[in-house]
Amino acid sequence: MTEDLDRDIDRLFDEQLLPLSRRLKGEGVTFLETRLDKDAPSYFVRRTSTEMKKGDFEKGGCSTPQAVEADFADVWGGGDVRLLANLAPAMAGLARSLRHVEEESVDVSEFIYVMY
Amino acid sequence: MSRTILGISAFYHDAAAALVQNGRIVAAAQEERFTRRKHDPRFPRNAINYCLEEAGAEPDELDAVVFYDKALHTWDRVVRNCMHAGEPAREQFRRAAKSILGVKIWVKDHVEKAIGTTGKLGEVLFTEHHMAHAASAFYPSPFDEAAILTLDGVGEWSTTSIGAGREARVELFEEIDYPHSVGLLYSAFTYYCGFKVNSGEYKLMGLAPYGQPRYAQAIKDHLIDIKPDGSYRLNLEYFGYVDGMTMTNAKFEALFGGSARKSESRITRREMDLAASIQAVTTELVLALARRARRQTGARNLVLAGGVALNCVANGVLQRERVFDNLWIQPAAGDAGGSLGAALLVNHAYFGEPRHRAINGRDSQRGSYLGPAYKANEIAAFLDRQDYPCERIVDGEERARVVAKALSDGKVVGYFSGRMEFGPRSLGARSILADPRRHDTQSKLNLKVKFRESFRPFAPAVLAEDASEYFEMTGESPYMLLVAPVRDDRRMPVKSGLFDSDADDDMLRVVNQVRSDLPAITHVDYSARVQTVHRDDHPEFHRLIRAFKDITGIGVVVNTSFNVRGEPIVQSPKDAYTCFMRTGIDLLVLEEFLLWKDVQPEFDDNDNWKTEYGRD
Repeated sequence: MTEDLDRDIDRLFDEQLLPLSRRLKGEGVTFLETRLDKDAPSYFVRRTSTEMKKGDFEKGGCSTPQAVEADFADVWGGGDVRLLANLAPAMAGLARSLRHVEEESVDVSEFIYVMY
Repeated sequence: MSRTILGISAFYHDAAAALVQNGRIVAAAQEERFTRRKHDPRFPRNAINYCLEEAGAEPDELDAVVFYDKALHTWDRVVRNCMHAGEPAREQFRRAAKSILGVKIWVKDHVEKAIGTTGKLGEVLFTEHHMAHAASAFYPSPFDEAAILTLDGVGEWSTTSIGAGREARVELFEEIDYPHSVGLLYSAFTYYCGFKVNSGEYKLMGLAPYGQPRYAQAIKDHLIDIKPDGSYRLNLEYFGYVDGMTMTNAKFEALFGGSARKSESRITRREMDLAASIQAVTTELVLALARRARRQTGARNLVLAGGVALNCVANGVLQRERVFDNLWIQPAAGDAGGSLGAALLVNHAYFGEPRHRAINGRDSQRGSYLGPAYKANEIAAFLDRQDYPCERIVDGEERARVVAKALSDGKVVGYFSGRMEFGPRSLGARSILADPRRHDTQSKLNLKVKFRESFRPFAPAVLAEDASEYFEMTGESPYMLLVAPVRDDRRMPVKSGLFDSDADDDMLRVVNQVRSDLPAITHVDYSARVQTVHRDDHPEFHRLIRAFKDITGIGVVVNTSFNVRGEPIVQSPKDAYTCFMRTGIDLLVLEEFLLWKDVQPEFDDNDNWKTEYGRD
């Protein structure tokens, strides 16, 4: 089971993520802002939206497996990396196969990975 | 209109639940206290059940259920991170996919499984991570308006944000985004010095006063570029978390002269100096960000939240520098407090409810005593069932006198009184108490009670009205989130040169020197992490300290968390009794019941209990 899931994840990584990454990098797309700029007066990023409005609370997770592709497309629907929306169908498929409701257990499963 | 809102944080660190009813904080608790697994990240079904029970609410009566983070945006960050890093990010992608796509985006499923409903809305609401922190800092504060500063490792994209709160409105204006993060910078040093990321940060902070900030300039020259306005970026060439599974990399090791310290190995001067250095840089950065917040908002008050806001050394400097007239810090500043912030934000920003501040001019966090309490009859039933010998003293004054006398005789007291604290600090509800005047209290507590590293200091709980007699501070520190210097006239000179040689890193010789007439709570730099105890917040605890003062002339007791190393703070009478019997605690106070160690029956215990809790 775990091996199957790992294989699915690796496949998406190898067949979708890395090729798209190479292509977009070739087009000059930056995924993370890592540069230090000694001459820049500030590194602050101004927020385009300064407060949460009612509709903002309604987005953030997936409500149904059927809606998950649209949820991803919504996140990647605009801005500088709208091409990531191309990943939405594959990501949605992976999310549906990984969907896992934790059972009560003594142990914390590998599905709960606290990054930092 | 009457609203009942459940806030949830989970799947990162310190899962928690909070319940807000009619704008009032009714209950909040961390899941770890129930499951007995430190920093438990799993869905907080026990904490949710407790919150509903405390409020007397049925799940289907909830007007809203809100989660404190937007996992879809976190996934966006992970994907972009992995596309930036390429092949080296494979393992990170694999783990994050299982965690985010497998669990975190399906919060609605978890809520429905746990309580059978998502309440009247039929959907789960979500807040931005830093908006939840901001709300947790502003709404319970005693201020009508305030600047807001949130700092943590990362939430979705943001790692640092500046904004303002006014009445029921919370705004964030500007931010620093991942991968640049003061929280991750501090965690990188936590990792490099051999402590656990996400839990060892406070150990690093406690280690800092032993060292000299001799690496501070190197950190600023190589690791972080801080602009005059307080904004910053990290030099990612030195860190491993973007393209690997470790916080630091070989270049970081080369800069600081070797590989990371192995956990549990001897702490050397290098770690002490690194701790002092990263503390100095963090403090400088927090001050710069606060000054920016002051300029941007013009506010006289500042509120803080996010894990970095638990850095009470930086907080203490911030208060003494008077960048703002007043400062309030959310006591559950880390992710647990996000549950509370999310619930409050939904109440005000989603439902449009007005904000009502406490009428006494104080905050509405209620001392952070927001967890479960046990009635006398429940405790009596527990003690009767187990046949544990106890003494019952119903009169509060008499009880305080007996416990204070035990403390003044050098006894260590396990103190279980009222509702459990919300947040990482014990504030007199689930505390281990001792006499601060004794020179051997620190080593006795560390080695025989807490079973933890000998260098770690203990905190004082002081009568709020007497705080300035002992510490150079004005105002309150009810949540033990400010470090203040012990007053000059209480200090004692120490032998110099004990620690001057690079070859000499015996911390115990330094720890054991008497530095003041309150040696147990005076850290090596004459500082103390102060809790001021206000009569209104916890009358019983206040009465005990006053009784101790009546006997000793000192209105201060040592207050440390009621647990052993690696164990969550005790929640129930059973947890408290078990901890009492496993350690060198002499007297257990369970509300009005006193249990003396020397008359307890032999405790039938698991021989391996010291390994039951993982190393923190």
